[in-house]
Amino acid sequence: MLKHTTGIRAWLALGAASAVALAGLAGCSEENAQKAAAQQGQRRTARAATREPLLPLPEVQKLDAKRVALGRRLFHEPRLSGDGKVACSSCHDLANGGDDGRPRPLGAHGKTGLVNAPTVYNAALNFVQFWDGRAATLEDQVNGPLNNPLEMASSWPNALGKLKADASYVKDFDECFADGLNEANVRVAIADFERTLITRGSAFDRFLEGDQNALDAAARSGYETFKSVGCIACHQGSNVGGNMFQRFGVLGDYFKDRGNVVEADYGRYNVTKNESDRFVFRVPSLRNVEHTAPYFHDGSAATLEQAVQVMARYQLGRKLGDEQVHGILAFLRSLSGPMVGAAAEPKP
Amino acid sequence: MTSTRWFALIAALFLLAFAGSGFLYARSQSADYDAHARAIAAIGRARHLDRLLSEQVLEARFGLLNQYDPITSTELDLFDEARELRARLVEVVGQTPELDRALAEFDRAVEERRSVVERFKGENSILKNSLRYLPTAADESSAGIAASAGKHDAELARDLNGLVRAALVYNLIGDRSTREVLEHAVEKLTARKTELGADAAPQFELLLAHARVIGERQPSVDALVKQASSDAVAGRLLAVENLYDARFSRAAASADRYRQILYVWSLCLVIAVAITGVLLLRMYAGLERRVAERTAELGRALDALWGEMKLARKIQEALVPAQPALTGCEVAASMKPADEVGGDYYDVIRSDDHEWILIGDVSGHGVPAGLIMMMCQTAVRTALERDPKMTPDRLLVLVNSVLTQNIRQLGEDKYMTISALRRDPDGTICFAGAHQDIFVYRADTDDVETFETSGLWLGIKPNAEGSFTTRDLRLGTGDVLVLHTDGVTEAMRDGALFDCDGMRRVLKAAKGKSARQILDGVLGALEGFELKDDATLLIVRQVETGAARRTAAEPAGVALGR
Repeated sequence: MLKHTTGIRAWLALGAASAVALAGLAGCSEENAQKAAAQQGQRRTARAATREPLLPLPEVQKLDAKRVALGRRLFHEPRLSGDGKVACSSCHDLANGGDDGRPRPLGAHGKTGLVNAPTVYNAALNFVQFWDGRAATLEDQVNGPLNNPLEMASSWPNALGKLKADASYVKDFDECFADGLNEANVRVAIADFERTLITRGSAFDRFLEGDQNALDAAARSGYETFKSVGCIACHQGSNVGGNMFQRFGVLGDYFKDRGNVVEADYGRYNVTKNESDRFVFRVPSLRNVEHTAPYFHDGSAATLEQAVQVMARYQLGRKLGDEQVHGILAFLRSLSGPMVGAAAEPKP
Repeated sequence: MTSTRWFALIAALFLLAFAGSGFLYARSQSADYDAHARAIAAIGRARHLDRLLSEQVLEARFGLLNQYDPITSTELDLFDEARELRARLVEVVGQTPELDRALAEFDRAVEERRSVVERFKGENSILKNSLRYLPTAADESSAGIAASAGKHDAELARDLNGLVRAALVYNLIGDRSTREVLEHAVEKLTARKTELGADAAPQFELLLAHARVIGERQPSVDALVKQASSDAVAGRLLAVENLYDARFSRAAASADRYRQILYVWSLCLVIAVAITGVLLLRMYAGLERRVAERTAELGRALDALWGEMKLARKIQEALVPAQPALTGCEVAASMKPADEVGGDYYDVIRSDDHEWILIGDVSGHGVPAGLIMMMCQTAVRTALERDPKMTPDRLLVLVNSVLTQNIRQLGEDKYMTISALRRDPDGTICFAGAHQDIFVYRADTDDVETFETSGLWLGIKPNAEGSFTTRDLRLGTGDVLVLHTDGVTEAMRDGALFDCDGMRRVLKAAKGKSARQILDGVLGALEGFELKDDATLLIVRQVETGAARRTAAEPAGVALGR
């Protein structure tokens, strides 16, 4: 009997202890409430460290090498187009400044695009994509040419179908992405590749970083002219442009003078339908500008000199002297960096 | 209710109690304070970015910021943060229409402000350019006019300076009076345009164009700055925050309530456990008591049962003669009972001139054996009362027929071994019955003589006519007649029986010993032997020969033994 009584006492103790423990647990949540899980300022907005209106190109952010390689392969992939002949690289030639040297690009089925192809180099630094800024990110930009009947004349089902038929693509996508080959991941791969196309190492950037001998006298005085004349008001920042919208024709009516106005000339108006946005475009970047002729959205300026004069006239309301133009051109040439995308051979 | 049902009920109640505790605990944790902290942090970040953007717009307007990368970066961060904010808030308080509306309005405010900032950037660039260029343009214009006119026009120079000053002042102050001054200056110079030469005209036009740009753009830029740095976004963000706070407070209050209920509930559980413990202890005490009572009952029952044994013993003791005596003999008798009354029986009866000795063993034990012994004795005594001269075999036949009938009626399957000895007045002994062998010690030969018995057991068949044979024997002086039951000979020690040899060994040394001494000798020899059955010994030593006369006084040498 004594043995049984002890056993009962033991169970009683256990029961009491567990009830008390439960009460204690309930109380713990009070402490959790006091514990703050503050995230320490993960987003830090870039503040200009210097007073110079131009900044050197930043370093390429860390990206997954496999994805970048896959993106490179897709960038050169003509099967993404309707006729299987046009790849991204057809209009954004990585060996030649990242565009195609034509006023308007040549698309699938021999069609011609509506606006001049901007360079893909340093496009990652632009705050929006396309002349009218309708794509917020590089990923969004991929949709444009792919679906445009005048450019790649394809569709996502079409393009994905062709990619899926290639086992090497399926394998590569499975390796790089958890959910394998799909539209979103194709865009991410291409965008990640484009993010690596930063042409660091230009003479001007070296000059900004302290190398006084990087620029010759002409380029240096050209930079001063560029600033004093007012080009710097819109072509500023690390990409020498690409971070704001502006009307084409501030102190003169460019389109009236040029004539033959088409819908593509309305620019940002096509996106916002705001009258004040008519003829407003994204300010293009001037990096590598000596390699991206012809200029403007309509490709109307065949040479850089012409472009500079047009800009001076219609944006600044000035006529520039030869020496000024010469200087500005020297400065603009100093903005060219290495064609980083042309280095590696694309995989077949 | 049985104790099993009690336990099942209590177990079920406990399960219910713990399930209840689990539910209350889960509800008390429903306000996720970690996620709340993250939500608050997200709101804080959004607020910070909103203010930062306003700051940067102001900096850009007043020349403290000369490129727009920071503004673009902040805009993008704010856009991302607005999305993250939605996710963080919904994580804590779930999706509700009001929260959705408030967040949508916040998103719209952010979007509106973004387009304002974009317009600002464009307009600001133009205004800055014109402001910067105006003094140069004025100088160039002045030089150009002077070159073409060939002379220096002081008034024109003054007007040009006035224009520049008016434009710059208007940019700085921006009120109606300064605007009027600028407009007046522009008008004045416009009127002078006609005086200029063809060379100077374009430059002059440009100057006026830039002055007009300043006049137009300054108010719009300032309006855009005001709009961009307004608290429209902050206001919407505050509305979102208030809504979220209200919802979260409700959820937290609810969780608090549940927690308080859980505290009380746990306390009740503890008390319930304690009460249950006390009840269980009581139950066990009760059980212990019941066991004790049952044990006592058992004890009593056992006693009652043993009582039966006592009864059997009583019967046996009642039947045994108190002081067996025979004329001219020493008589010593002893009956040692085994643990259970074994059914031994002996008797010494004097009837007329005859003396009878009977010894027997009833099969079985307990009260039934006792009853049969009693019946036997009654039958024997009744028969001898009527006819003391009857022969032993006749007696046994008679007794058997009575006994067998009665045994059957008892429902027992019993039998009895019995030997009957009749001692006549002249000293002859005749005997019958199939009990144990009779030993006689002969004094003259100093040896033991064995008389084998034969016959039938009583109780086997009702009519035992012809089954018994009477034989005689004579005792001389000093001879000893020994009667025993199988309890003596079957006593065991170390796996060996006492047996008849044991008896004979003792009897061989009987020379000159009295009956009592011989009895003690046998009993002594039985020391250390385990008795399986009742052991009875009857020792008769002849001290006088000749006719056995019954005297009124005590016979010689009566020895009593038990």
